[in-house]
Parts: sequence; structure tokens; C-alpha cells
Amino acid sequence: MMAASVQLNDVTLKFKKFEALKDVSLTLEAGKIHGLIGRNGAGKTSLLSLIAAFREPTSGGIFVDGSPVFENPEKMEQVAFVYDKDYKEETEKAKKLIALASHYRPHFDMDYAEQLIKRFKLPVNKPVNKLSKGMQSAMNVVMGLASRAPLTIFDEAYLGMDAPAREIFYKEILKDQEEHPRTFILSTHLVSEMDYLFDHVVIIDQGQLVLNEPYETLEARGASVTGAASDVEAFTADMKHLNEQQLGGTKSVMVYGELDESKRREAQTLGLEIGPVSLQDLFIYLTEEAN
Amino acid sequence: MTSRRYLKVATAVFSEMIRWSLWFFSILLVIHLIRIFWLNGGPSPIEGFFTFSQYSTSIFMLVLGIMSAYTFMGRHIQQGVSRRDSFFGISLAAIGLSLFLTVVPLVINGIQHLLAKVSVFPVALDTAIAFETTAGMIAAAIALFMNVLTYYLAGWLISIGYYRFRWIAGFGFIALTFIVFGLNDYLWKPGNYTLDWLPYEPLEADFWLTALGSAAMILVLFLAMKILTKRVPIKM
Repeated sequence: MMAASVQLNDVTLKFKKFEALKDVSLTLEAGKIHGLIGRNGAGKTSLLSLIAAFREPTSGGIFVDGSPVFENPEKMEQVAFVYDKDYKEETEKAKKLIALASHYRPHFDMDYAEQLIKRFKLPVNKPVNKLSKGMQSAMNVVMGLASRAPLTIFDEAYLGMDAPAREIFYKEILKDQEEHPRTFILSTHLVSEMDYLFDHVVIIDQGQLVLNEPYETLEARGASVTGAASDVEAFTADMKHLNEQQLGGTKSVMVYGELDESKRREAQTLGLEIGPVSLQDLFIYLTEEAN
Repeated sequence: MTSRRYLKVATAVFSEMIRWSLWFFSILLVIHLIRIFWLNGGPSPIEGFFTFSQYSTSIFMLVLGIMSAYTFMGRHIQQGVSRRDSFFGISLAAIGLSLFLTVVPLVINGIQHLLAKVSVFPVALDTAIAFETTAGMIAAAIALFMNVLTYYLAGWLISIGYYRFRWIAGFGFIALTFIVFGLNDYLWKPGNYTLDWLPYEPLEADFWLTALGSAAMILVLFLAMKILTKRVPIKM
């Protein structure tokens, strides 16, 4: 399997007096799709730029497959970092930038790139600065996916893409992950739209790690309780509400905290439906709490 | 694979620069031909292509150098190339291009020399002037090679200065390149001496001493670029 693991040991990044990242330690397993979630300015891009060796941390170590990544040619070649790049001055054609990626990326698959170009209807013979924002993003996504880099990072790579294009992007990630497994890091704040992609979730806020867990165990962090409004209200009275919705006599409440066995049995006898908590609600709650 | 990464950078950068150079020489040649056939201003001989193109070629190299950090370095490192491989690749491409920019004017000059013999041109062409002032054709070629390479490095220095330290310090790097140009003139053009803080002792006497001095300066510039690009953060 061509997939790389990532490890961060006590990583701090300072820009003059501003601390973009504070003492972050983190391991990202190889071959998984990791969701990196944070509010604007939380430090997502700073974190990812360190993993891609765009810069050095102020202190701490960053390792790809166990080796320090900065100025390590074998490792840098394996990390593809796709981000919302400013293409205002880029007069080259999209075709040429894609060719440049294939020149450098050892696992680049040109057939796959061409397939993706067709799917996104990307006009490759146009200068990049004449493309719409959504098409520029599509070009970035094509380069990132077709690179088949053992560690492929998409930092809000969908910006400007319309809903159908984003759907293609998500589907292609899952499809290619099945055929050619690698490690993905997808940073986003479109949580509800992308949560089904994640095997593992990392939430950062104000430069600090807030949560770092497999997606399945997140469910235990909370629950959704749905049923007759009065029953739901009574049942969740002493719980922390993350979100609530009501439609006629039916109410659905997202609660924070684990529901133990007796609580679950009680819900069953009341005829309430217990479901998993949504990542979106958890994210909003956890990052609000930190503030 | 492992040791060849800088060659990948070199070929990518070189092919890009060659593409621009071909445009550059085509335009320059057209201007030169216009000058020979229509704007020759009477019977006095006109300089051959080698002399004619020298100044523009240096400026062309300066511009390519200025594009280095933004167009080449950043773009290649974003595709997973290390700073070290990027440095060696760009350096190799610059040396290769300097050779190309030396050989092309020489060849065009030679062709003009042959054509002048069968009087194709309406005016006399002085295709030998560049070679008399120094020590013949080889020396003139070496001089041009070192000059264009120095101009490239000067441009690269400005570009990394702005890339790394932003615009206020960038001005400092421009000042630094003026010193480079001054030293370059001091070595190669004793008549156009521009530095007043160096004692004026023309070096005309020995070509090889001049070449040695120029090579030393080129080496120092390469070294400076190596240090300045070593841990540079990549702009996003």
C-alpha cells in the first residue's frame, strides 16, 4: 500500500508574537481518510503547511513515515499539498501545470488525470488565471488526486466549486481510496457535507488540539434523541443540548455526553429513538466551548 | 531516481527558459535586421549580432533571474521538490542557459560574417569588433558567458530577497546587486568604471586574471543563493 503515516511531536509555530499552533502532538495512521476540522484561523493551514514541509515549526518535530519531513527529498516527494492557491498571476495553461505535477510526482497517473479532467469538464487549454474559481479548484483537485501521493492533503480544496462538482470530488476520493489506498487529510469547515468521508477526525481550535479520534467512537461523545416533544424534553432535561429541532409534535435534540445502558433502556421504554450525534453539532459545541 | 531529482528541476526550468530565449532572440534578430537593411544611417559599418545583442542579453538574463524565486522555486517545491534540489536544478539550468545565450549570438555573428563576404547586406558589418577588444573569440565568449551568468544571479538575488524578506529588505537586495554590477564592470569594463570606493587599477592587462575574478564573484553569488534558499518558507 502506498500510504504514509504522519506524526507531530509537540509542534509549536509562532509568527512573531502570534502563536499559530501550540504544542500539538498527533499521529495520523497510514491508509486512512483524516478529517481536519477547525474554524477560520484555527491553524488548519499552518498545520498542513508544516506537514508539507513548506516551512519549519518553531519547535517540535514533524515526521512522515518516521522520518523528519523538512528538506527530506524522499518524503517531500510523497506529500501532495493542495490548497486554495492564488492564481491571479498564473498565465500558464491548466494542461501545463498538470504536466508539471506529473513531471515531479513519481506515482502520477496521467490516464486518471484525463478521466478527472473530463468529469470536471476542466478547460485545460485556457490560461489558469482566466478560469473560474471553481475550475481552478477543480484543477487543483485533479493534480492532487492524480498524483496518487502516499500522503495527499486537500486544504479546503473545494472553494468555489458548485455542489455537483464537490460531489464528484468526494466520490472520487472514496473510489480512488478503494483502488489505490493512500493517506488523505481533508481540511474543511463544511462538516455536515463531508463527514461521511472521514475514518478519523481531528478538531483544532486556536492552534490547539481539541479532539483526535476515530469517527466511530465519536458517536459515543453524544447522541441524538428523537420522539414526542414532551418526552424528549423530559428525558434530556439534565443533559447538555447541542442543537434542537422540532416539527409539529416531534422533537429531535442533540446532546453531549455518553448515554449509558440504563439511559438507553429508559429511552427505549419511552419510545424515543437514539441516534449518533452529528459531527457538525459536536464541532460547533467543542469550538464554542473553547472560546 | 533519488539522486536525479535536481536534474528533473534543471530540465523543467531549462526548457521553460529556452522557450523564452527563442522568442527573445527572434525579436532581437528582427530588430538587428531592420537596423541593417533600413536604419543603417549611412556608410559607416554596423556592429555584428554578437556585439549588438550583448547588452540586451544581459538584461534578459536579469529578468529571468528576477522570475526565479516566484516562478520556478516556489512552483517546484510545491510539487514536492526539496529546496536543495531546487537550488541545484535552477543553478544547472542557469549555467546551461548562459552557455546557450553565448553560443547563439556567436553562431549568428559567424553566419553574418560569411554572408557579409558575399555582400548580402547593404552596409558593412563589423563582425570582428567584439573579438578584437578582448583576446579573440574564445575570450569574448567566456566574457559573455560570465557576464550573462552574473546578471542571472543578480536577478535571482533580488528575487529571493523580496521572496524571503518582503519589500523593504528587498530594496537592500537591489542595492546589493548594484554592487555586483559595479564589481562586474570593474572587472570587465575598466572604461565604464562605476565604483568610487575601490582604487582604480585597470585590469585590462590580463584576461585570465579578470576571468578568475569574475569566476570568484559567480561562486560567491551561488553560495549566497544556496544559503538564502536553504530553509526558505514557501509562500502559499
